[in-house]
Amino acid sequence: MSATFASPALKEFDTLNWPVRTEENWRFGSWKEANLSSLKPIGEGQPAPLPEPLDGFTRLVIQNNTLVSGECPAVSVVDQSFGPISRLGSPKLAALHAAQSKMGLDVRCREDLSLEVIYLISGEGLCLPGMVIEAENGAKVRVVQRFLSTDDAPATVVTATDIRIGAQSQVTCLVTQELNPQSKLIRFADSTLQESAKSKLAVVHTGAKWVREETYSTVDGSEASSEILSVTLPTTGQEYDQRTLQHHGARNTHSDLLFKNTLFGKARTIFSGLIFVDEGAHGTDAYQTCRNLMMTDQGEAHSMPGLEINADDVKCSHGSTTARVSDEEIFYLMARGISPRNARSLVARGFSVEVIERLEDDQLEALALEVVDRKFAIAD
Amino acid sequence: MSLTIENLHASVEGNPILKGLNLEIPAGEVHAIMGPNGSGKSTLSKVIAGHDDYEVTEGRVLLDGVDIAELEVDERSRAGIFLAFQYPAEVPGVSNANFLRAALQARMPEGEEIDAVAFYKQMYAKMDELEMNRKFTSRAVNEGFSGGEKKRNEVLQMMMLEPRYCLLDETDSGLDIDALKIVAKGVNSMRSPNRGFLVITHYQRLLDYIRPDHVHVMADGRIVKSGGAELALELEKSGYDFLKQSA
Repeated sequence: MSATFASPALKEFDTLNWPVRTEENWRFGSWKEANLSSLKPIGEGQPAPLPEPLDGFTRLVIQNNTLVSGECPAVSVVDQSFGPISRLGSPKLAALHAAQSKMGLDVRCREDLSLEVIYLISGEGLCLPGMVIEAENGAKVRVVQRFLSTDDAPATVVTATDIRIGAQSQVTCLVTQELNPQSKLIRFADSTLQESAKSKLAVVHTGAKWVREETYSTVDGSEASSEILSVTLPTTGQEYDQRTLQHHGARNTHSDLLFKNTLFGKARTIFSGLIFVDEGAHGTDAYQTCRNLMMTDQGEAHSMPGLEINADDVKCSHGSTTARVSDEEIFYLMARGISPRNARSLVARGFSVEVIERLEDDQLEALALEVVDRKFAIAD
Repeated sequence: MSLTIENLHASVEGNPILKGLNLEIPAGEVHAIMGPNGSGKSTLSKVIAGHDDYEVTEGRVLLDGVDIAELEVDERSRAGIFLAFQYPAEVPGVSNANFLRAALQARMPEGEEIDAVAFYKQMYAKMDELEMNRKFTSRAVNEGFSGGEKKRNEVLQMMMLEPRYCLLDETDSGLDIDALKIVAKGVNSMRSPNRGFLVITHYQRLLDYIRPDHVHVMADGRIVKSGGAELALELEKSGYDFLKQSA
């Protein structure tokens, strides 16, 4: 089955080009990082100590491309890609996933589900996991995906998630990424929402040397609501490049994107976001905010927010801010005896907390904070 | 035991604000400073707290005999100085409880953790005294607080941190009379032979509730007149016209 599937995908892969500097979707981005032509598939994974399980969640553990523990009636393991489509600049990388991925999870929920998927990445090479989540019949689905390195080898993870949310259903998804600083992550995150569907899709990036993330949310049914959240804490040597599109294709839909980057040292971030409202998608209510907190003068944050509105009677706003830690806040905290370093950490943590609280899920918030705190403990 | 200010001169961006201020606040006493706008009252409190916008060009501040010139803001706080701000900063995403815990933790010896149960018990008791709703523990520091709530929060922090010298910078501004009474009650509960207070205010009414031992008038960066509690009443009646006459 995978042979017949992969052949046309391979053909397509061969015809496409790796990203180049002149592409608008790679503006400010490190396009050379995306050239994976020299990479070989990653080998067998290695076992490693697992983090504490989340209470009430079914846990699946994947070592590189192999499911090694856990089972769930709603989840099937497939040996091929679902074939992600990049609409934000990386068709070659999407085709690579389509052609070469041998490990996918097909999650179909007609009733409530809490699922935790741990990806343990080890060794050098290319790892291409994927996941489709379908929520129907009013199901409330919570999915946590955790990407963890178990060694210091430079892995490259190209992963794709497609979340399809049927009428009246809800999906909350938290992705945490704590790969080692030699690794790369390329992630396609698509979601489609039908009538009155709801989604909260959050990512927390603290690891990897380079992340390219393309998030495409299609709000396709009236009264549907999509929240897209991101917290990143890059340090020197790390670059996070996030491209998003909030696509409103039906009347009376809502989307709200809030991304917050806290940059330490010489970190780099790139955010490019577009709200696109189709003709006839009247009553759209869409927001997009990217905020950058600079912990030093040496970081580099690029933000390119955008709007394209083809309907009347819409409420849309976008905005981006880049600021240093407020001297007034630091003085206030220090005037209570808190050291300058801890004061800065508290303020920066608070900056991230504002996003994390939007998950409105105590367990997921606690996990996201745990990841954030691990980074704060070492970032300077 | 005293907070002693000797011939203090301080400038902001080269503009002198404090011009030779002398004041001694012995532990156990409450001193009030009044004075017209722009006389340097708030500057004095910030200079003592160590704000780096202000440059001390001459003179010194002694905390129980020790010059604090070389101490950073946080070190001064841990040494026993507390500034209740006129305009407390908002700190988004940091809950009041976490903030107070961090402030108390900063006072613990290396390797020791504060007892969370005892901490909450103590905090709730102090909040009850100040008639503060317990929901404020989980709210971000001062964010969305009314003026009165911010001032109560300042006094809560003061009560929790138990400093040796408290500087209250216009703590009465923005307070209605009921809130003023509650805040004053909190301050009065902290009066002790081991603790000194410097209360900066524009209005005599605060001093009806926090009875000062001494009142000082500040003008053009100096103390120009000192007296007992009755001086505040006199100022309330006749204002600061006498300053012009003496000038």
